[in-house]
Order: sequence, then C-alpha cells, then structure tokens
Amino acid sequence: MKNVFFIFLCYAFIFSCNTSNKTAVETPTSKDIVIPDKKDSSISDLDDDPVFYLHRESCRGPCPGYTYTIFKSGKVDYFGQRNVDRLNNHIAEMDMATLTALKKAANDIGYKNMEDTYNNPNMADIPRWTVKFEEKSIKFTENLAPKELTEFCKKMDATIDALKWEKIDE
Amino acid sequence: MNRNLSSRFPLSQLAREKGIENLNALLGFVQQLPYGRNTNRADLDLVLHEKKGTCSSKHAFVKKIAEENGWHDIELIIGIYKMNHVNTPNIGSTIIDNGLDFIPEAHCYLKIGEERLDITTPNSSFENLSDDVLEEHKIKAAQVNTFKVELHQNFIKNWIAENEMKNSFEEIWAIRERCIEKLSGR
Repeated sequence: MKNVFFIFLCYAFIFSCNTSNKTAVETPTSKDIVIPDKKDSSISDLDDDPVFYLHRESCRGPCPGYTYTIFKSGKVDYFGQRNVDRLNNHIAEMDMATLTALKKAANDIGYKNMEDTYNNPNMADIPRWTVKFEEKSIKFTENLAPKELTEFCKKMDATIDALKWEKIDE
Repeated sequence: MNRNLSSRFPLSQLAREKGIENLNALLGFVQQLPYGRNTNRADLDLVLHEKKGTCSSKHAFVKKIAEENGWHDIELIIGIYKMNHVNTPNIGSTIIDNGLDFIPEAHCYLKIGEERLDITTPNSSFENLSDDVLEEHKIKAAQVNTFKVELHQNFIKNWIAENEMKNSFEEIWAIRERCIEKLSGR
C-alpha cells in the first residue's frame, strides 16, 4: 500500500511539473502581443471649451480691432488687429474667481435672453461687436445695443486688459 | 458617408450661402483654396471671405463646422513631427547646414474616424509626415489661434533641454523661420 501511495505521489509531482512547464510554454510570444496603434493611443486630449469670445471690428478710422477668447481653463487668447496696444497674438491666464464673476455678470444682465443682433447692416463703417457667452452669440453696434450689454463688454475688456500678457511670436 | 450641413449656426450658414452643402464639398472647397495667413487668425469666417488659409485656419474652419453640425468623429489634431529635408524637400539643406537632423515642427490636420486628412493644399498628404510624427494633440477649433504656437515653442524648449543641445531656443526658432520662409517662397 505504501508503494502504491509513493508511486501516486511521484505521478502527482511529475504532473505538477509538467503543468508548470506547459504554463510557461503558453506565455504569449511576441507574435501574440498586440501592439496598439501608437499614434491613436498617444493622442492627448487638450480640448478646452471657450466660455467667452469677443470680436470688435476695426473701421477706416481710429477704432480698435481685436479678438479674444476666454477658455474654461482660464486661458485667454488675444489677437490685436489694429489701433490697440497689443498687436498680434498674446496669451494670458485668468483666475477662476474672475471667470466666475464674469459669468455671473453675464447672467445678471439676462445675456441669454437678449436678441441675437442689435445691428443695422445698412449702416456703413460702423464697427460691429460680436460677443459670445457659451453657445449664445450676439452681434451689435454700440448705438443699437442695450446699455447693459455694451457695459458688460466694456467691463470684460477692462478685466482682460488687467491680465499679465505674453506675446506669442509666430 | 457624405453628410449634409444642417446646422443653423453662423459658419455652417455662411458655407451653405457659398454653395457648400455637405462634408465632401466642404473638404474639397477648403483644400483648393490658396495657402496664406488670414488677417485675423481668431476669425475663422475669414477662410471664406479672404478665400485662403493656413493649415491651422483651414482645418479649424472644417472642425468648427463639424462642431456646429455635431460631427463628433471629426477631430482637429496638432501633430509635432520631425521636419527634415526628406519629408519637406522645399526647405533644402537649411536644417543639415546647421548641424541638425531635424527640427520639431507643428502641423494641423484632421482625424475623421481612423483616417488622418491633411487638406492644407491640393498636394498635401498626411502620409508624407506619418512616420515622423512625435506626438499628437486633439484640440477645439477655438484653440487654434495661439495654442498651436505655444505648444510648439514649449516642445522645442523641452527638446533642447532634454537633449542638452548647445543651440538656444532663439537659434532653433530662427532656423525654423528660415525653413518656413523657403516653404512660403518668401
């Protein structure tokens, strides 16, 4: 009986060794390893949504022309086109408290309930403003827009003017 | 699959007024426009009004219309690639004359589904750069204005530091500017 038990143990030992060897053989080879498409897997998502956008058209006279976008991250892009201190591309950072205050100010004037345009396209050489808050865009001239809207845009201008700007050379 | 421009947002409306009714027409129209910087990079309407654009404004213009129409599989990509005399023959020997193998350059293109598409000029093809791409970043159309330049410059600064190069950032940027001058025939 002892001999039978000994033989059983030997088989059990040999079988377990074979099993471990088999496991090692089944480890995937380099041919089995799927290498992901490097370009797809390495695309970093730097999406940053615009919260405010303001574009002020220049005119034939001395009126300033500039465009800026304030992003959700607080980053601000500025392009000065004509008659402004900051010509060409600039960037700055806005702190979250200031951005939140601007959003509140836009909501307080009922921005999203305003008309889409306060604009007479037949009036020549009157500089137009385009302002966008989230998805709502308004095109206006100063003389036709509600006072609250023009004051809000000028307040936003003053806010971004106070930022620390860095020129971006192309 | 072709898709119709159905959005009532401004850029899509403007495109339809110019007779551009669907995605294929949009891509074809933008690709055949001459290469050139717009007077205001932040104003994507200018691609239509000025009938020209760069890799940034042309692809951002398409991306903006895609955003307006809910075509979420169309992505705007900034790729940083190794610019050299092989993938960009028109720069001549500018880079190798300065003792460099390549300079990291930033380029914009689209990713539609799994396909990358470069419609900067009628002769552009992403395949020319695909083997030399170092990194890619997905951005929104509104970010194309200064973000590309900032990202590119930061990449070059890190590249100089990591490779302990003797050249300063200003020197590398000046070499890069000479390459761009040659490319634009200035």
